[in-house]
Amino acid sequence: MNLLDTGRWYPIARSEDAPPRHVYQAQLFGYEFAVWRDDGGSVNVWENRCPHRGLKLSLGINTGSELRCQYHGWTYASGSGICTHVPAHPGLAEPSKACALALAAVERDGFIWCAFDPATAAPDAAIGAGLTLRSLPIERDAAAVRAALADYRFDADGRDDAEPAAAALRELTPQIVELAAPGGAVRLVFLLQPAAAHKTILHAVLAGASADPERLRRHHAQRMNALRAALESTEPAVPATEPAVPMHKLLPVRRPPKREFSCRVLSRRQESDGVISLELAAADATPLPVLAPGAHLNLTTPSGLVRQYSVVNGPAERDTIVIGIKREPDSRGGSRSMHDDVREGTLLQASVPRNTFPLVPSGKRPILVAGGIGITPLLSMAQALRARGEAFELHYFVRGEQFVSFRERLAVLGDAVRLHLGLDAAQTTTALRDILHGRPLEQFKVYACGPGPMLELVRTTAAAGGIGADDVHFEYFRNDAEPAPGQPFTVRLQRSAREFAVPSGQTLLQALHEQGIAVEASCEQGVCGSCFTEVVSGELEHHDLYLSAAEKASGKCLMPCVSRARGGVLVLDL
Amino acid sequence: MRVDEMLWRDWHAVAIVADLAAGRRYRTTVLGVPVTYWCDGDGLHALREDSDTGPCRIAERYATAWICLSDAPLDFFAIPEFDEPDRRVVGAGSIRLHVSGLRAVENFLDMGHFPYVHTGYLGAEPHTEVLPYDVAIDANNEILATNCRFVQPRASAIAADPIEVNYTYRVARPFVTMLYKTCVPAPDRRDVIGLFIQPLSEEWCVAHTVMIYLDDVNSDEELRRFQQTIFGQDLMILINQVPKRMPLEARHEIPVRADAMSSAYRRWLRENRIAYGTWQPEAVEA
Amino acid sequence: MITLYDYELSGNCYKVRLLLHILGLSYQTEDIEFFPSRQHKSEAFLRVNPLGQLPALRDGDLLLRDAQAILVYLASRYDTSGRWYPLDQPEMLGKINMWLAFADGLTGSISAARLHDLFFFDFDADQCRARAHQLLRILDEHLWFEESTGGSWLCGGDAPTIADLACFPYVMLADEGGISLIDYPAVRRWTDRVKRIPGFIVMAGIFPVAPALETAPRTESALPS
Repeated sequence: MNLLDTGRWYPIARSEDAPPRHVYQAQLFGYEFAVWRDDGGSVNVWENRCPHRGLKLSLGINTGSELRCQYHGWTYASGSGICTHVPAHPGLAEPSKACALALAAVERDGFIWCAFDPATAAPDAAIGAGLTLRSLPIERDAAAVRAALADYRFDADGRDDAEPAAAALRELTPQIVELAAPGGAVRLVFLLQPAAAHKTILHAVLAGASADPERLRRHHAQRMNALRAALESTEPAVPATEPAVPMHKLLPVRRPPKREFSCRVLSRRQESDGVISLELAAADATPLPVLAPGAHLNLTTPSGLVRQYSVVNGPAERDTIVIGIKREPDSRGGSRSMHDDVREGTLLQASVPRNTFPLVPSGKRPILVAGGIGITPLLSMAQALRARGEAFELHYFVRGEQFVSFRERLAVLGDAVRLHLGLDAAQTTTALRDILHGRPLEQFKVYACGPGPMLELVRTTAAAGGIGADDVHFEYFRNDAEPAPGQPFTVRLQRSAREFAVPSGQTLLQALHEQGIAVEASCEQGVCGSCFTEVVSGELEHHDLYLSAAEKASGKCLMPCVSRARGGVLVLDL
Repeated sequence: MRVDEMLWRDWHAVAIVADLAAGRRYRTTVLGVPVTYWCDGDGLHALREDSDTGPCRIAERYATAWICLSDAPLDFFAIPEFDEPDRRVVGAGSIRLHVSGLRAVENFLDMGHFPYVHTGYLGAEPHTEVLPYDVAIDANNEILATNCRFVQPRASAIAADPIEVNYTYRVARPFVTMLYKTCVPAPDRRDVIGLFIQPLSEEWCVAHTVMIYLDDVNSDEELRRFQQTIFGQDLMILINQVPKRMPLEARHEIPVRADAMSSAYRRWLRENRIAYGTWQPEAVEA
Repeated sequence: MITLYDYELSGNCYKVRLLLHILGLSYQTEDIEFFPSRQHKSEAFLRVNPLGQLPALRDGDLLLRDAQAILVYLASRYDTSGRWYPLDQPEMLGKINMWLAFADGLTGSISAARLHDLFFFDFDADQCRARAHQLLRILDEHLWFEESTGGSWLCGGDAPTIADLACFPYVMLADEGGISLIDYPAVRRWTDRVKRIPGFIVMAGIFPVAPALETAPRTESALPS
């Protein structure tokens, strides 16, 4: 019992220890965990350590869909643990390895269970329903606590003055012990959570008792405190130490969850003149990623171009992803392809939604300003705010009645939505002034999304009205999924005598990985040095921040995640 | 160079001289070695209190007392601004932390945390972007990060309006780092903040902060209060990093472009064979 | 005008800053540098508080020391809701004062360990930490039972009182004294609730929490016309 079994399920928390918007700090075999529940009810059991710079995630913020680290604001999605936002670089892709270390987690019988490398699909012990008693951390090893339970006596009705006889003890598993009060109707089930070598969390559930719950709880709290005092008095407390083996070594070797997933178009709707909406479902059994309001995903259009689309979903919509697509008249083919070539049943490749346009918790009332197709992320935000009971305003600027999209969703939001139809530039300016000026300052935050000129108007009008730049947030529909620019070139591997091409749209690192060549990588942004590769010959184009000037000039090495060759043949020492 | 040779030969800060009471004996450790030091009419004195008991080197530089445990001490690093006659030199106190001093240095070099840890002081959402900056190792084997820019609501005790500040970071020794920042009263010169970390042990350190400023408006207390607030905000973060010793490999802690300076620092530590205060998981598993 | 004799990194001063902000009171600050110059032991400050401790508060002719006493005064005098220190409810006043005294115990244990670890104060840190854990166990059990009967605050009412503000700062800064809150989950949940009190402000070392999840939508107020 005292040795960690990576295949076994252990109780790590009670269900009530993970209320919404809280991060519970837990411990198992000396390892610390951040346990948190998203707004949909799913629980996460993660190593209590941000993979960026090691800050405990229990200091972070549970936004309801993500855990945000307190150090640099990196956010990790519920479920997969994938990093969805690096605030220092809103325009760059997050490192694919940046992922919170997640254990398998299930919730059962009022407990949250976790396993490093589960041998079974769920814990097999059945605890049954009962009254939750207070859990108690005890500064002793689990074997000592288990032995002491043999002498635990309690009254079935919770009477403190009674002199109870010994209870009948039955071991359900090495960690779960059941005590039956004389008569057998009332049963007390103890679960021992081995928090550390010299610490055990003792959980207890009382079944079959009919007395007043508070009295029962106090009765057992008193007795468990006495049990603890007796156990702790015999030996001095042993201070906690950091475990010697890093947690990732205990988990099965697996690649970080892929950001890419396939989805199938469930339905396609004409929302308005020039705008369609698509409802996407997962193409396989994998659950869809959890979405934050304002998030977007990258979709590969049938024409092969990659485009960003904001997700329209309200917080309760977890089974499908809804996006809106406007046919752009000067499209290079992306939106045209989506309009013309996508129908029900079409399979599309998508990537995990990123959250570069988040709703920032601030206590200030959000004013959402949407221009045209910019309604999509703001609609998601509005629905989230409505679900939270938070007041907001949504101003939707469109060229005319026939261009209004997502009418049913807007109707649900009622008075919070104001439509501004068919305004020219001057009228828009006036309307924006009406919306943004004359308000008590410091109490509002503006979120705006739409065409560039409109956003510029919002920016200048907000500034003129005294709204601080900090309180105006923009989503520019940039396409930062643009592939890495650069000429195509050929790679020759000196040691293995292989040769392959690296096209313009692909990094050298991606090409090497595609060829099955194991080059280690971490940041994928040219800064950490992990993918350092030796070069035999080739005209190099360095884009990294790691190599010194001398190293770059030597032509003997490069960082394949960001650097390339200027055409021709690049010979690597691989 | 042997492992940690640079550290054993280096000078380590133990106190801000102005905070020392004359005649009083102070006990501390440097790299785990217990030492006693004091100041009197003849200056600073120090003794080793381990098996090599005896006098050990102590010197005053930059308003700080430094101890060296070696008979072949390194030369001191240079801070020319210290000698400029119109400079004010203000110590902001010495605070002890339960974390490897290397992490304290790295935190000092980082801007990405400004909007989250120093909210309203050194940064605020949505201005979270860290723009590209330049990192190089100079001829003195020191690391310099230049052209570091960030939008700050309250860049210092002096600044009233938000400004885009321009920073230069410098790492002179493993535990010695300095920040050169935009100086509001004299835009062509820079204020200097020195963070001199004393490695008590591999997992404990003391942060000694010395400001070398041009300001002639704020009192010493006001300058210190600002620095202490900033440091107090970092403190809770630093003591909650795991592991307490700093990993040098990018496998364990993943950087992004904003971490170019910290990546250069970790690489520089590896190349200068610094192991003290670093996390070595492979060794533990042997 | 209220004057607060204040030091940024002091949890006891923060208790008062917190209530002042929550009550929306304007005040001026007189900074007394606790570290490294020990200005709280200066002759000038000893005239304000002969005990040489922070915080102190001046309001007109009234001069008060002791964070808890100051909280009592400010709530009694300025709280129009009458909930922070309900003068008309003797039972609540009893409970509040019980927990104000407990807060003093937290100062003597957690704060002392913190002063030792951070600022080299000559305290027996191990003893302080052991005492802190004893108190935190009691606090956690109390809050757990409050939660189990639907309560959220130390004194059992449906609103926080100055007792919650008095106990919060040093609990929140316990890590700085080498005291982890990992074994006190009810305390950790309570600290989230304190952080959500309207008017809450942080101090160095304390970070905000996510807003609570509202399960029932409130009615929308009308847009300005």
